[in-house]
Amino acid sequence: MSDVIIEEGQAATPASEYKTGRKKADAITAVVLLAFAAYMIAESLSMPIQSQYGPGPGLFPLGLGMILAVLSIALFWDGVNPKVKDKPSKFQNKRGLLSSSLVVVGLVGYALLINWLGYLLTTFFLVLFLMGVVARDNLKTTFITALSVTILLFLIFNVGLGVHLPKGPLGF
Amino acid sequence: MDFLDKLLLGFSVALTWQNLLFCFIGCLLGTLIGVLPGVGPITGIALLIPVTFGMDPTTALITMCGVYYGAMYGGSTTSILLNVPGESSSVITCIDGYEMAKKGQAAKALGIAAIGSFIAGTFAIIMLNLVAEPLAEFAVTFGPPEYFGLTILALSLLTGLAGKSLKKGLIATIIGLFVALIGADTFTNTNRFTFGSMQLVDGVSLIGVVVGLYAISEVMENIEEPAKRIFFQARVKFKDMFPSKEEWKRTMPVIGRSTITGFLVGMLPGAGATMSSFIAYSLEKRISKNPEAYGAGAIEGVAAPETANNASTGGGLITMLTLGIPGGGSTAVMLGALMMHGLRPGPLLFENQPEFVWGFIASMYIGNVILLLLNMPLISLWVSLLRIPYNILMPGIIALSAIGVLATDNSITDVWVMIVFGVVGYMMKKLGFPQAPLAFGFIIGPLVEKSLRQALTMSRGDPGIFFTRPMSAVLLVLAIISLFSPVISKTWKNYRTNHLNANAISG
Repeated sequence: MSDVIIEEGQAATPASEYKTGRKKADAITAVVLLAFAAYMIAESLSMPIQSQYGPGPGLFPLGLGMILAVLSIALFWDGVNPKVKDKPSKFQNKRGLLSSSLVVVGLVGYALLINWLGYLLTTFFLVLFLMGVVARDNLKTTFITALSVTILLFLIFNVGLGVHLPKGPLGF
Repeated sequence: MDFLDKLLLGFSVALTWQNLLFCFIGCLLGTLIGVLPGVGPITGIALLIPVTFGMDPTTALITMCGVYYGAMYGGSTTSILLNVPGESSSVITCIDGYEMAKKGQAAKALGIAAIGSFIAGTFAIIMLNLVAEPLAEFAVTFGPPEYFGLTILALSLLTGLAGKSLKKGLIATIIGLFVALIGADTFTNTNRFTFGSMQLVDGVSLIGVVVGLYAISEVMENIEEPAKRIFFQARVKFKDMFPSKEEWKRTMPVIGRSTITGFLVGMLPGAGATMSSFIAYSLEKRISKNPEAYGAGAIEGVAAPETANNASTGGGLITMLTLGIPGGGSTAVMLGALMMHGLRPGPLLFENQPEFVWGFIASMYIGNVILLLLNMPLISLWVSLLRIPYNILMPGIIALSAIGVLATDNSITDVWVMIVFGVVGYMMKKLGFPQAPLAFGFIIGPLVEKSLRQALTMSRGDPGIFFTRPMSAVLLVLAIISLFSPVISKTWKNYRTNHLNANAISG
C-alpha cells in the first residue's frame, strides 16, 4: 500500500489529412452492398421459399436481401444528395493505411505458413514482421519481443492448456 | 429452493479453488484490459474464448465475467490520469476525472471511482439474484412468436443506439444476420451461402468473427497513428483516495441514484455501460444544485458515470441469462462463448443448470471484492502498465488472436475467417458503421430465424400470428417505436420549430 508517483498526461490523436470524402465513400459502399444484396436475393430464390410444413430455407435470407437492397439505395442517395453535407474522411493518411494493410499481410502469411513451419516458428516470424516492418522498432527490441511473445504463448497453449497445434519440420 | 439455499449452492460452487483462482485471474486481466487504451472489454473476452474453451463452463464464464467487470473498474484509471478512456464506458469520466487530477485530486477521483463501482456492482448482483429467476419463470411461457418479437426488439434497440446513422446500424445488423445463415440449414439441411466450401457447412466460426471484428480491427486502427502521450508529474497517495466526510455526504446520493439508473439502462438490450454512464452523468448534472461544477472537476461527475457503468453490467447479464438475449457487445460475446460450451442461456437454464447459474452469480460477489482490493492498493501497478508502448502490445494481441483462434478447433479456416472479419471490422470503423449490431445479429441470428420459422409453421404461414398474440404484438410494436423514435422525434421537433416560427410571424 505504498504511495506512488505517477505521471499524468494526455493523448493527442492526429486528425485525418482528408477534409472531405465521407459521402463518396458512402456511395461506393452502397454500390458494393447493393451488389451483395442482389447476390443474397438470387441465392435465396434458388432455395425453396416455402416447404411442406412452413417457411423454407430461402425465406429469411430473401427478406434480409430485400431489406439490404432498400437500405443500400438509401445510403447511395445520401452519398450523392447535394443537400447532405460532406464530412472529413476517417482514413488517417496513406502511411496509416499501409501500416494497417501490412498487419493483414502478416496474418495472411501466418495462415499460409503455419502448416509448413509449425506454430512456434510462424508466431516468432509474425511478431518479428509486425515489430520490424509494421512498427519499425529497433532490431534488439524486435528480437526480444518476438522471442518473449512466442515463449509466453507456448507456455499458455502448450504447457498450460495442453492444446495440440501444428508442428513444423524441426518437430516444434 | 429459497434465496439463501440458492446463494449457499452458488457459494459452494464459486468457492472451489479453481473458480476462485480464475475469478482472480479474470479480474486481474479485466483491470489490465480496462487500463490499456486500445484494448476493449469485448476484445478481452473474445481473446479469452479459446483459452477458456477446455474449462468447465462455470469456470469459463466466471473468468470472462471477471474481465467484463474488471475492465469497467480499470477503464476509469486512464480516464482520470491521462484523459484517455480505457474503454468507451469511461469516456464521460474523463471530463471531471481529469479536471480533478489537474487540481491534484487524482487519488480521490480514483478512490471514488473504485468505491462507487463496488457499491454499484454489489447492488447489481443482489438484483440479479432477486430478479433473474422470476423473469426466467415468466419467460418460460414464451412461444416462438414471443421470442421472435423479443429478438426483434433487442435488435432494434441495439441498432438504434449503436451508432449515429440508423441506416448504417441496420445494414450492420443485416450483415450479422446473414453471416449467421452461412452453413447447413438446421430445418432442412440445405447448404446456404457456403460458396461451395465444405469448411463452411458447419457455419462460420464465432471466435473467428468476434476476434477479427474486435481484436484485429482494433489493432489495425490503432497502428495507423498511435496516440501520443504527453506526460507530466503528479503524486498519488493511497490515503488520499478516500473522500472527506463532506464529500461522502455529497456523493452517496449520487452513487445511489446512478446505481439504479445504470442497472435499469443496462437491462435494455443494446444500451450497455456507455449509455448508462452518459445518462447517469447528464441526469445528475440536471438535478444538481451546482451544475456549473460539473466539467470543472466535480467529484460527483466521476462518481455518477463510474457507478452507472458497473451497475449496468449486472443489468446486462440478467437478460442474457434469463432470456438468452445479450445486453450489449460484451454479453453477446459471452453468450456466444456459452453456446460453444454447449449451454443455452434462456429461461430453462435456471431449471436445468442451477449449479452453473448460482455459482456464477455467487462468483460475482467475490469478484467485486477482489476488484476493490486490486484497484485501491495496487494503483501503482496499473499506472506503471500505462507505460507499455503500443508497439509491444500490438504484436502480442495479434499473435494471441491468431493462435487462440487456431487453438479452438485446430482449423485454419477459422484463421481466414478472423482475417476477413478483421478487414471488415476495420472498414466498418473507417466508414462509420457500428460493429456491435453485426456481432449481435450474428450471435442471435439463429434464434431470430428459428423463432420466425417455428411461428409461421404454427400459423401455417399466416404472419398475423405475430399480432394476434398480445405479448409478441407488444414487443414488435415496441421494436418499431424504438427503431424509429429518433426519426419521429426529429420530425416532431422540426414541426414544432416551424409551427412556432409561423405563429411568431403571424402574431
